Amino acid sequence: MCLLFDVFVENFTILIDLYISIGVNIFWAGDRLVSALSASRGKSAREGGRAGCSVDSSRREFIKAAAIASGLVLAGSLSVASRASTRGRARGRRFAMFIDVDKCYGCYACVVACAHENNVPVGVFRTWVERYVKPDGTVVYVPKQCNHCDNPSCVEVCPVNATYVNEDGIVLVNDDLCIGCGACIENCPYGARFFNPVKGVADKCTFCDHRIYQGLLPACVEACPTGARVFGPLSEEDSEVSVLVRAAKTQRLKEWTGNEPQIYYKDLPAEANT
Amino acid sequence: MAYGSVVEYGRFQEVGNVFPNEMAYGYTLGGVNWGVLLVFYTLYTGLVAGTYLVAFLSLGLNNARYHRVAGLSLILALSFILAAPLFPLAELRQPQRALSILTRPHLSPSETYPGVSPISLLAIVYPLLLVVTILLVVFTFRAEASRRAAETGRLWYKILSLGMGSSEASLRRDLRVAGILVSIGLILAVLFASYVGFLLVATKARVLWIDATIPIHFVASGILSGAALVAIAYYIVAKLASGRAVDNGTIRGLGWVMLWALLTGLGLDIVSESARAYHGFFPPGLETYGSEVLMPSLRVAYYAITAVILVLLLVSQLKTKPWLVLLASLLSMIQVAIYRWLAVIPAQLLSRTNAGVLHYSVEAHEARLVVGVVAATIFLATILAWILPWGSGHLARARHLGASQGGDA
Ligand code: SF4
Ligand code: SF4
Repeated sequence: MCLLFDVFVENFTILIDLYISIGVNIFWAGDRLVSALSASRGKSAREGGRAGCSVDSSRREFIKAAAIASGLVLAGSLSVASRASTRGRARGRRFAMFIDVDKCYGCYACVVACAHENNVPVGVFRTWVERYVKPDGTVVYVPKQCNHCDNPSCVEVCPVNATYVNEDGIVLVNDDLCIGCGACIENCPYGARFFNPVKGVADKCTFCDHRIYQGLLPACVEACPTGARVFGPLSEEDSEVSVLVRAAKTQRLKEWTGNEPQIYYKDLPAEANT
Repeated sequence: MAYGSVVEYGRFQEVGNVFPNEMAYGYTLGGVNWGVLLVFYTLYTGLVAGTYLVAFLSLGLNNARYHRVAGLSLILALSFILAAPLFPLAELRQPQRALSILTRPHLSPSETYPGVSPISLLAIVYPLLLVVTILLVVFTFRAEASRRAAETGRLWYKILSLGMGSSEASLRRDLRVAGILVSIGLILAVLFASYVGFLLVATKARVLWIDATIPIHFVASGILSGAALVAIAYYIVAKLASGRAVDNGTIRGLGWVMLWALLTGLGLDIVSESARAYHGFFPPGLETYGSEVLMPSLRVAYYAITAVILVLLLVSQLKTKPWLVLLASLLSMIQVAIYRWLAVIPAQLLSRTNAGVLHYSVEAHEARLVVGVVAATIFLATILAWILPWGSGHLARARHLGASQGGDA
């Protein structure tokens, strides 16, 4: 009984907190709106403009502001929504990766380099290497990571546009916007996303965007001792990745999803196509 | 060692081939991203639709059988609307940013992504539903509050009456407005009940969610549970309050709604199971894990309870025995909870590799949150039932008045 009471009190506090925070947010928005309206008329809300008003006029102002505020909540939601569109296919370079499965011998250097470069916490992976054993004893290693899909299902479901595609086709997460709902994690067919236990937001491979825009290679590509991973702009015809993708018979993972993944595998065993 | 197994981590061998990040939710062995809190959320959103439908039958369609419970349904609907967001809020890793769903929703399709985020539908549906329901409550109870304010002089009734009187003309106007509001509210409540279903169906990474019946079933089972809950609440209130008898017509009417909702759900179950059987739904390699993922014993329990409810409801339409509907209502709550569990959890237990299976058991903190939110909902409903003048049968009187005056009947 005591435990039930404790649980009730604890959760009721959450409920009250929630509604107080909503109230504060609405009040804050209204206050900002009144200030903005006053400022646009050339008089600061603080500069006696309001103090000098009669009770009636301030009430009128308040009602007007409240009416505008509630209208704005609706209209704002819609207009923000129309502006904040996901960008989709790359408009600039289309970065992609070519992975030669035959060349990978499972040293995990890429996994370690990625974890080190990007502070990936223990237990979660921006890239990993799967190991498959054929009936004849042959072992096949298949490196995997986010495919930076051209039609990413993770971006589609994000309710707040926190996950987006940059102009070069790299799928990224804005840590400051992510609410941690997990929809993108659920909707990535490749298990490439996870909740970062330290940051508390969705996380995944970024193609080391902080490196590549300085002319460096992604950490995993640089660390690979056999050259199994090749990275570059697919949109440039003579780039190494373009040449390799054109020359070899490549496969992409789970094509049926329509995600258009941008990691191209050579010699991928059928069992690893997950 | 079988071809296709991932063996970097010894523990993976017992669950088959799963992605390493699928083991990363902090559970002992595997786990799911959306657990029992989402199950309860879908239960709550369904209850909103069900209770709203009962209110609509009275206020919108002027069906006399539901006048006695219309006010109670509205109170329950408002309580569930207020409490429902607590479940997803508790699931969020960044709950302090929850309001950004309303302020920057992802609602605009683009050339590359023809869809919008189903979660963002909440940005439109939830605030509208909340506002419409609050207005509906005001227009439904205002005149009676005004009458009581005159009788008792209580401040609360004065506030609720909005300083207006309870003349016949104002009563008729209120009921007309309530009729419009409840119709709009019902549409929003149905969207509220189904949008999680759309989210699940839109999740292409999970083969078990590729089932178009899910959103419709969410509405049907929501109506079943909503009507059942109104019946239970009405029964309890009538038994507890001295001098009030359970009205057989009302209980039977609720049983009628439940029966149709149950039959609709059953029809959808048949479609869903047949489609699964026809397509031989499971990828090769899953046989080993299939039974575990599908939770066969829970499925059997679901269909067994459905059969019992069906019999109880059919008999209740032939014989006037309120306890039959009450029993069916209690079983319906359990049946709908099982359905929600089966809709939400098993699909996540099948790894995205389709060649491994994960495990999930309710964590202690999740259980505490569920108990807490349910307790908070009951508390909210009790407070609302205490302050709103719902139990006087005034809706029936008002309707009668409207009819006799050639008003809105
Ligand atoms: S692999 Fe997954 S996380 Fe990466 S872009 Fe595609 S859907 Fe999104
Ligand atoms: S977890 Fe973050 S990035 Fe992923 S869908 Fe939710 S808000 Fe968007």
